[in-house]
Amino acid sequence: MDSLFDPPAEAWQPVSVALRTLHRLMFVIWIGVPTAIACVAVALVLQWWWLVAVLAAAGVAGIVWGWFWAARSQAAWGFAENAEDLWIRRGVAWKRLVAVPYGRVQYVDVTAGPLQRAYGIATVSLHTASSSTSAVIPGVPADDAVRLRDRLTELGKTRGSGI
Amino acid sequence: MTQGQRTHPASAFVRVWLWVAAGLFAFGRDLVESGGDRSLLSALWVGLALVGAAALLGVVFGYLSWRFTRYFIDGREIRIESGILTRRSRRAPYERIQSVDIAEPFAARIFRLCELRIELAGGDDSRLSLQYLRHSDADRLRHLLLQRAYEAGSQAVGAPVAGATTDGGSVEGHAEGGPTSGPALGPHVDLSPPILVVRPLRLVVATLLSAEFLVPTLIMAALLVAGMLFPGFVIVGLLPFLFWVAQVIMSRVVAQWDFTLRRAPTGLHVTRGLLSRISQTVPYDRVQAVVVHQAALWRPLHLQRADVTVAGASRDTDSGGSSATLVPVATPDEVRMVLGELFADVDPAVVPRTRAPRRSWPFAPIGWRFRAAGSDERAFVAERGWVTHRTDVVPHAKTQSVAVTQGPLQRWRGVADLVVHTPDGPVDATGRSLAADDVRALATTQLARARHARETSPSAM
Repeated sequence: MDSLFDPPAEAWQPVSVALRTLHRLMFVIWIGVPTAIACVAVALVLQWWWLVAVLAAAGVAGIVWGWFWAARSQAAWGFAENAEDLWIRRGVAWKRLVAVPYGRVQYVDVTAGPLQRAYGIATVSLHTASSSTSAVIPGVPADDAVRLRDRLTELGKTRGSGI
Repeated sequence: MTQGQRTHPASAFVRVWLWVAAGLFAFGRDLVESGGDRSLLSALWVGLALVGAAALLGVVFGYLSWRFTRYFIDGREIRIESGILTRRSRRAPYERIQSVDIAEPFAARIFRLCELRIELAGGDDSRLSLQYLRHSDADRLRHLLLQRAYEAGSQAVGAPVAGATTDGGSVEGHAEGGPTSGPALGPHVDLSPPILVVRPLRLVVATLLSAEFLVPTLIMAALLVAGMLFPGFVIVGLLPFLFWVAQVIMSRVVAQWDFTLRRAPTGLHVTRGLLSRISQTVPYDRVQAVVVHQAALWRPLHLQRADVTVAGASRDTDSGGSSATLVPVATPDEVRMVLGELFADVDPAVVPRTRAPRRSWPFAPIGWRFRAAGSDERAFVAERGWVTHRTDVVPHAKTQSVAVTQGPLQRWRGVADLVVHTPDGPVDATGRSLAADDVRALATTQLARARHARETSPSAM
C-alpha cells in the first residue's frame, strides 16, 4: 500500500531532527502550561481533586502522544529533487504527496521564526499559480534551505513557462 | 489632445436614484417613528420634502462630480481624473490594457448611456471605468484604445487586426445596424456572428430545475405548510430564503439573460444581462480549466452548465460572481463546441478514465459509481457527484502541480485522492477515492504529459 508514497528516485531526503525537538517543545509549552494553570486554579478555587487528577492525566497523555507524534511526523516529512519536478511527502495518518514541476514554480520562500532560528532550521515553501499547491518543507537546515531556494529559483527560470 | 474630455452631462443624473432611494428610506423611517400621529396630508408633505431634498442633493453632487471628471488621452496612456474634494488620477498605459468592454448598467440604460471598462494586466488596480458616455463615443473610444494598445504591443483582447477596422466603414455605420449585426445586437458590438445564444425560455426552465433554486423554494414551502397546519408555529426566517431565491434568480436568470457567445480575435466575447447589459471577453490564452456541471434534474433535458477558471480575472461584482460562467445552460453538443473553441482537440467524453473501485463505497454510498479520473494526450479529466455531476477538464499545458492524498480510512480501503492543481477558480480537478494502485501511475503520467505539453506549446503570457 505504501508504494503510493514511495520516493520517485532513490530515497526521500529527510528533514532535520531538530524539527522533532521543536515540535516536542511546542507540545510541552502549549499543553503543559495551560494544564498546569488549570490544575492550580481548580485546586485553589474548587478543590475538586478528582478534576485536578483528570486534567493532569489528560495533559500528560497529550504530551506523551505529542512526543511520539513529533518523531513520526518528522520521519514522514521528506522531499526529493527529481529531474523535472520537486516531490514532497508529509503526514503520518493523513498522508500527502505533492509534485511541483520546476517550470511551474513562481517563487520560493524561506522563513524562520525565532525558535526555528535557534535550532538552525527554516521552512521552505514553493508557490505556483495555484494556491492549493501547498508545497511546504519545514525543518530544513538553514544553509541547505538557502541553497535549495537558489537551486529551485534557477531551475524555475530556465524551465519556466507562462501561465 | 491635451485638453481633457468630459463624459456625458447626463451622467449627473444616473446616480440620482440612489439619493432618491435614501430619501425614501428616511421618509419610511420617519413614518414608522411618528406612528399614526400625523395626518395623511402632512405625511405626504414630509415625504415630498425629504425625497425632493434628496433628489436635489443627488443632482448637485452628480453635477459636481461630472464637472470634476475628465479624461486625457496622450501618446502613452489614458488618464482619468475625478473627485470633488480629493482628486484621484487613474492611469492606464496602453501596453497594460488587457481588454476594453462596454457595460450598460440599468440606470445608465434609461438615459441611453453606457460605461467604458478598461481592464489592465497585472496589479490590483486592474480596472478603470469611465462613467457615462454615449454609445457612439464609447465605441469610438474603445476602438481608439484597442488600436493604441495593439500598437503598444499589449496582448489586448479584441484588438483589431489589420483590415478589420475597414469592415463596414466607420463606427457610426455600425450604429445604424450594419450588415454584420445580428439579432438584438447593441450598436457597439461589432464582432462575428454568435456561435451560441442561450434562449430565455431554456434559461428560465433550467434555473427553476436547478438545485440552487429548488432547495430554498422547497424549504419555504415546507415552512409555509408547517405554519398552516400548526397554528402555533411561527414562520420565522422566511425572509432569508426569499432573499436566497431572489439572489439565485438575479445571478442565474437576470444576469445571464440573452447570453451570447461570439468569437473574437483573441478570446470569446460574452454579452449578457437583462437589466444591466454586460460585455466581457474570455481570453483564449488565459483560460486555465473548465468544469461542466449537470444537475440531476437537468439530465432528462440534456442540459449542462460550464464554468471556467481564468488566470488573473478581476471579479465582476455586478452580477454576483457570474463572470466565471462560460455557458449558463446548453446541450452537451453545444458545450463540446464551446470547449473546442477554447482548447483544440479536447473532448472530455472520449478521454479514457479509471473508475473508483467498488470498495470505495463507504466514502460515497451512491456517488462512488460516478467517480472517475483519467487523461489522454490533450487533457486531464476528473468527474464525481450524482446529485450534481461535475466534470473538471484541465489541459495538460495548464497543469500546475499534482498531489496525492490519503487519509487513514482511505488507507484501510486501499483508495486515495488525486488532485491536479490549477489557479484559483471554480475548477477543482480531484479524482476522489480511486484505487491506490492506479493513483501513483496516474500522477506520474500526468506530470510527464504536463511537461511534454509545456515544452511543445509556445509559452504564452
